[in-house]
Amino acid sequence: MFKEVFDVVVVGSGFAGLAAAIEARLAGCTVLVIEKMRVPGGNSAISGGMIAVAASPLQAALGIVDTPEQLANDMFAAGKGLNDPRLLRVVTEGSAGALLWTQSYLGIQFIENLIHGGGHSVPRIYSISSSMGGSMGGGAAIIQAMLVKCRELGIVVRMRCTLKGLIQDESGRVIGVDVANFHCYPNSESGSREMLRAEKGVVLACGGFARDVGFRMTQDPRLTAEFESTNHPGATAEGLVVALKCGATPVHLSWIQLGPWTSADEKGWGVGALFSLLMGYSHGILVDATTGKRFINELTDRLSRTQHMAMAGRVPILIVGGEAAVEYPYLRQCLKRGVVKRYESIADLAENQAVSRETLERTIATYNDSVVSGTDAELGKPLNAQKRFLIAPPFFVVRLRPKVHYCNGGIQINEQSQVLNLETHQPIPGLYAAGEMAGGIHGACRISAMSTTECIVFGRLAGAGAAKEKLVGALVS
Amino acid sequence: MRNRRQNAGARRSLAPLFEQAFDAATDVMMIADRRGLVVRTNHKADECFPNDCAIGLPLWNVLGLKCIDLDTAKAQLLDTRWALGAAERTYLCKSTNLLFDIRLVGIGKDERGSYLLVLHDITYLAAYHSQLQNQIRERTAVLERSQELLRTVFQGVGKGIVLVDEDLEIVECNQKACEIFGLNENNIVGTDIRSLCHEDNRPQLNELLVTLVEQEVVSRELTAVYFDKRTFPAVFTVSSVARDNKPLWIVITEDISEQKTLEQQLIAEKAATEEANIALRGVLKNLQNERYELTGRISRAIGNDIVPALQRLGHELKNEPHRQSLRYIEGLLVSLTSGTDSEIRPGVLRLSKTEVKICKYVQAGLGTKEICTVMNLSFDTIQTHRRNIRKKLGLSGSRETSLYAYLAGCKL
Repeated sequence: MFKEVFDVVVVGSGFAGLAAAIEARLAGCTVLVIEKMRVPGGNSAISGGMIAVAASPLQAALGIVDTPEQLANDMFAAGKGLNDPRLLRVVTEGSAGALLWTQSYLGIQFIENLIHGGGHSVPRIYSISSSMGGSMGGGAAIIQAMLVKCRELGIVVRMRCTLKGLIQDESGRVIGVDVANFHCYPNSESGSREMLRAEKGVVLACGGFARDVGFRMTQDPRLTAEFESTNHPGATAEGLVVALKCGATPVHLSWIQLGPWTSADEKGWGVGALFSLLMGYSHGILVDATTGKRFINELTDRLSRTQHMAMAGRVPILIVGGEAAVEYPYLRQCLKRGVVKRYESIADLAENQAVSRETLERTIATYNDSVVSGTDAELGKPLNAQKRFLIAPPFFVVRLRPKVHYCNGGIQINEQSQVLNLETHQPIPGLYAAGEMAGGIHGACRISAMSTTECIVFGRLAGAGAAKEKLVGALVS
Repeated sequence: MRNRRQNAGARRSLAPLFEQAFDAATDVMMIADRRGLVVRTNHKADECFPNDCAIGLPLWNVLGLKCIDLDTAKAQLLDTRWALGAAERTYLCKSTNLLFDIRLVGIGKDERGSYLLVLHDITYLAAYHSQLQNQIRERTAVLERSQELLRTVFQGVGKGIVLVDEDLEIVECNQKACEIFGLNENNIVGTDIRSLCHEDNRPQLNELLVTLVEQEVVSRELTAVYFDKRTFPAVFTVSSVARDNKPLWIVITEDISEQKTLEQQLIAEKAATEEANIALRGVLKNLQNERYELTGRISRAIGNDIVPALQRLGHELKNEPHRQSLRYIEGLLVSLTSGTDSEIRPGVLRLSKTEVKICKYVQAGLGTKEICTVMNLSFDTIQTHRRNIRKKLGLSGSRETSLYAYLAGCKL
């Protein structure tokens, strides 16, 4: 009946899945990770890999006062109070531990500076040193380190193997998975079916469904196929649907987030997104080209930003001064691909981007004054003590267009990462979930860099939890 | 200098000429009064408006404009936005199927002003335009089909294909390439091609790319790196093409781990087979040696002991049949020695003592003259002996085999 037997089966090879696999293996279990795509890593492998940490060593070194409660408050505010307070506590208190794990166990090197991300009240975000990922990006560097560990620990990561169903016994305990091997995504009928035994538990880390136009429109009809996405093509709802069919509880599925940093001049995430994310919003200004004025605090949460950007008729562009822009290591690539454009003067910028020159000059002058004084009276952008950059030539401009980015909702989990049943609200024995697939943590809107933190905190909890499950007796067919 | 009255007079006398010009014009021309009603049409207009059917009607109705009064009609026709051929400034005559461009000209002073309408036939333009549009549609369809084909081939080929620009950065790759290296497309595109292979091999790949000439296709086996830092054997096949005066390299990659494993297996099997061969050859050699030794011993016994003993016996026998039987036995024993290194040539046994001596001198390389001197015999005697020897050894008549050659290696 079962082709192979493992202690723990993990579905998905992103941050959450691999973190769960590693913890389960370190606890002595035999582990199999299945991945439906041809390459491992999912969205994590193309992400920025930034991680938000409350009360971190770097904050202490830089004299920034912060606590897990403060982070929880920021998340609660952005999430419009829909977040589960218990899960907030787990992730905020676990953030420092997650950072330590990536640094000491995975060997990831971060730069000695913190980024002030959207929705955060203070700078909290660690970013990967460019010596690690090279031009691939921070997320790829972390996934690579995790895959190397998997290889060293003897964890098999099987590509092109997709989840078709969960196998449960009469008591409802999850005892195995039904998979299709040699699956050719996106051909849903492809592959040869097999059943794999999971003696202790199954961890679901299937990610989100931002690319699944059909499913996302059932939850938010506004997100038609016209909206592009930053996600990889596999970010679809098959895994989520399997879980829901087995009695998992859906939460916040309609809170699907658009990303405010993506460029209108390239497909998907591209090279421009990181530029906007790292530089553009913190050190530059967001201007509506039709009016020449700023219209929102650049560092507010993503939901507010994207809502304002998407308002009818607005043409949002991000303008960064030369001094700040040249600090971005991949600027040359962005310029080469035409995603970021360089202008030597405001007049030049105004002409090429169809903005009124006089209004723009006033906007930039007012902002520069705010930077010097430390207070943005107009829109309340936090202009912290860290580094102050004026908007001065040469100017670097990105044309932005919001794209579907992250699914805040998913299936409900408890503080131990166990999946809760829809009717009984009790854990489904043997079933765990972590990462974007789990819902209830971010509420209406996720703040910057909290996804990596969440994946590692709950991924590790899920793996450790599954490893502690007692071995079940023989299956009664 | 003419005065105004003279000009007016001149105009009045030219009036019939202007009328004729109006009527003879190749364009359709109409005159409307200040209220916009058509009062006069020229001959050309008869094709579209036979029997003066346009006379007395508002010009906007006659021309099928979506207007209800003169002002809106004027505004529409005088709008500079409308390019030639736009619906807002054309008139399609239903009966002749001709398309006209409408030009409106105000004539005379405002209050008493009239309007001149010039309708220029642009049917050919419209036809040409739609022909061009069809061509564009067709060409676009063909282009899309070939792009689709290219995309299918690019993705469907069973090997990884990577396109590299002049900075050695990857600009495009297919799905198979992603699969071979375990990298998402976003992570491959933009990286240096050399990062796909192991550090030790990077200079080689670099050299391969840089020294390649156009039209050349070169393959090399290099160690490549998967996303999880595991190394694997791969073949990189490189060719280049010039794009905007800059090189664009096409690198085809193939994971040959399976092939390499099979190769290793073959090499191992071959080594095992060779070892077995060596062992067998040894055994065979031993057997051969034993045989040689055995047969050698027999031959030597026959040559050194038995045959001489028989010969001595033969000398003592007086009976011819007995001597014949003895010679027969000798022959049998001699034939046993053939093929060994102590082979006895049958004829040699029949040689007399003198003949054997001569043979030994011949074997040593002495010519007849020298043998004469050594043996103190005449030339003719030696020659006769040689003839007899040749007869006994069975060489007579065959000029090819010299005595020297026959006796070479012979045991005397």
